[in-house]
Amino acid sequence: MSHGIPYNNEPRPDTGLYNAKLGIWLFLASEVMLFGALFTSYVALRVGANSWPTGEEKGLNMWLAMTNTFVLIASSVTMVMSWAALIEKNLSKYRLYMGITILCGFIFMIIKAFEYGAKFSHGTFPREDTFMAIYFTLTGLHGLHVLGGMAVNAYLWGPGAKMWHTDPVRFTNRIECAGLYWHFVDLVWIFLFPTLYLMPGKHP
Amino acid sequence: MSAEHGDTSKLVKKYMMVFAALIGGTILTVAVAWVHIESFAIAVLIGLFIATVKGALVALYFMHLSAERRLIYNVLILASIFIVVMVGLIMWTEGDQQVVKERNGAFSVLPEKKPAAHGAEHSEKKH
Repeated sequence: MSHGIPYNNEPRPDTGLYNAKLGIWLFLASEVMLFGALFTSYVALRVGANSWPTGEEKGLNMWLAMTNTFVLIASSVTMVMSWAALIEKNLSKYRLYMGITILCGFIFMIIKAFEYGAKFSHGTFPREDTFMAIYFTLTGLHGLHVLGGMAVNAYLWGPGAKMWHTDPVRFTNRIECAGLYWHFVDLVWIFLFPTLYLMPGKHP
Repeated sequence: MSAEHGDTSKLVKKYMMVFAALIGGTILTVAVAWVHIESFAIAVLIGLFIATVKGALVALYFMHLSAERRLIYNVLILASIFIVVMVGLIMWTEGDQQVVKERNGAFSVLPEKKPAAHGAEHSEKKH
């Protein structure tokens, strides 16, 4: 017998989904609008500018960003593997993969902090020019999303994992939903990396 | 994709193949950036195409979109329509402003050359 909000495990007859899955996809649709608006801002600023630098000209480190791309892709794999481990009913394996996912998030943020620190120590701030303003806005907002995802994943690795013993199907569904959010964060970076670091410049 | 089936070996194999494809796609993206492509439009299209393929792999396999209900597709299609309309409206207004920008050099990120000071005219006016 279920208590509280129904359809946490079994799908609703009208949507065919359990509630949280529809909820997280609706949230991701709103996130598409958020990052889509910022990417559009990038396009509008670039098209409207007489000149636009490459990432290299502004001192952005492509190799660090590429490393970050590998790190986030790896974290996406370990995130989905943690969900697969729960399907296999292996909690230890779940904890291992979720732990690696959180660790990858840390590595990403450390590399990002190193990049930002290098900029600030050279006196380069968002106010420098339009390119740096949109660079810091896009990567800063993305970084905050990574931190938020890490917080959720850390909870689900730690105290949140108690639900495995009382309601394993619901807990597995929670991991699936957390995974959807984490994959989206990875997806945004897949587009951010070439846009900011690899795009050719425009010179008068 | 539900939390009911227990055999994940095929799933794991698929995830590893997608992982390899994503790593390969990232290396390809960087390699293409190193090649000097004359046309800016083609360079951007190639980069965007590779990113779209990578994004599609993440969405279809890691996010299980390939096995998802139609309702989720409808939600994403709705978001995509709004994105396209937003981008379209902004670029439309951007076109109207083009003449102003060409005259004033708005949003330039490189230092603009300032016009020479008209020192002689001012000194004549004072007398």
